[in-house]
Amino acid sequence: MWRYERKLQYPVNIKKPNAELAKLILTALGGPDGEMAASNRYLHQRYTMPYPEVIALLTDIGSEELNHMEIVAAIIRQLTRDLTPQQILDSGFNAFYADHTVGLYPGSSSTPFTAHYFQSKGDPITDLSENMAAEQKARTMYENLIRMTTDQDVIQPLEFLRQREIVHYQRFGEALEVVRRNLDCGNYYAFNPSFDARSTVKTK
Amino acid sequence: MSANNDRYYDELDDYGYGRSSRRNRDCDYDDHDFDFCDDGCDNHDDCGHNNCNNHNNCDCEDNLCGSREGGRGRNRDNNGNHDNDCDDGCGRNRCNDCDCDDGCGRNRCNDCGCDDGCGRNRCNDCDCNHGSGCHNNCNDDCDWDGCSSCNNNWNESAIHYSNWNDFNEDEQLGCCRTTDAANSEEGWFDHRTRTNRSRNRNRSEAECRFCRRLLCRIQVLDFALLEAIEYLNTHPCDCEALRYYRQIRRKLDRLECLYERRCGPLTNKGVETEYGWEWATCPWPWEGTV
Repeated sequence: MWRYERKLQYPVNIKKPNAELAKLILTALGGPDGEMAASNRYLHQRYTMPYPEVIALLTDIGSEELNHMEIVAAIIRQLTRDLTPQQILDSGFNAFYADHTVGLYPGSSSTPFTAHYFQSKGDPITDLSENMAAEQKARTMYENLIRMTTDQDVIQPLEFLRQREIVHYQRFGEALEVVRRNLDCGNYYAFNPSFDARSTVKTK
Repeated sequence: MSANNDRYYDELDDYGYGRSSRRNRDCDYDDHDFDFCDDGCDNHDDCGHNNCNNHNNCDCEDNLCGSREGGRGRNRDNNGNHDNDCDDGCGRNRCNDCDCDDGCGRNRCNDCGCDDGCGRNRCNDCDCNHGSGCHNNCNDDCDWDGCSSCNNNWNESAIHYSNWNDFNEDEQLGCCRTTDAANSEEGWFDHRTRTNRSRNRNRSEAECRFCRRLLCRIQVLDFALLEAIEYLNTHPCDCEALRYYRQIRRKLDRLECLYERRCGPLTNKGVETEYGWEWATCPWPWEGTV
């Protein structure tokens, strides 16, 4: 269960609309390394995770990614507010406009969001490795976006989001240690603790 | 059953906030409140475990620490005043079992089984990050980047707040640098006024600034709390981080309560209905302040 709080995790106050930039930033919402995939990834992996600390982490980071979805959506909304039809026509945002006006629709500029962007594999080592890779891919994406942006009003929230990817990478690395501590230290792959009953699996 | 976590509310009362409906962490309740998970069994062992097998509605053996402790003695009732805070009605005491340092001198590291069977000691492993954890980096709430873009003159601002002295001076001045949102001449409160959605709340400019600044402060504390939460998930025995968590939460509780009283709802359970249904009539955060 979640409860909405009427505040952004990081403030977004963009003074100048920029449809071209909005088109690029769409990927941070519903693209392959976007926040929607991140949130879905962690929140869906929770159910088969056998260790309570790691479940807690997936819950809290998965929920934080929902904050980030809202931040990115706020950026896109404010970048596409008060545009004239001519500005849209000139901007490269025109194809998106034809389908969605300036409605928020998750996806990169060319592809709608799809669950192919994340995995829930039912194996703690696999899932946490996926998560660590995903956080790094998102960091790279944010760095790419920051390079293409000159508006400080946009750069600041993007930098905040980039920092969070790094922190989450650190936390997931620690979670992987928690998992390993609970496994057979002679063979981490002796059994899948999400599925195999430990007593029925011979170790070592 | 009685509750003993009233220290939060004692503090609230000290500041004249009274008890907030949405933040009521008071644990006072009747036995009837937990009728829905009553398994009709009172066979609790010394460790607070429920020995009854027939607990259909309530998983009484779902015990975070108990499952690892291997029945180690956990007599934490050393001063008797923490047991009732957290009883969930199933005979479990979450404080006893799961909370780390609760101020009663207990320490999860000592209480839980530490050897993981691989020759490593969980206590050492999980408690070794003193000095490198987030809590050392974010101890200063004002250092959040989100508040660094503002050039507000806080000394001057403090004058305007002089008659808003129901939170302490330290917190009034704590958010030294606020966001554009807090500094903007067209902050969200002005926006609300302009669109005539403010109903009965008429505020002075000083009050508007107060609300913008209070929201900034809440954002900072909320972020600090989240950072501590995520850190604690993988460092559950870090007592320094636990203290930090409690400290931030107390501040945040007070300020969120104050914000909802004076400024507007933060959640749909925090609406002061004397001003109408502000949940639906106030601007939304993604609208920005421009």
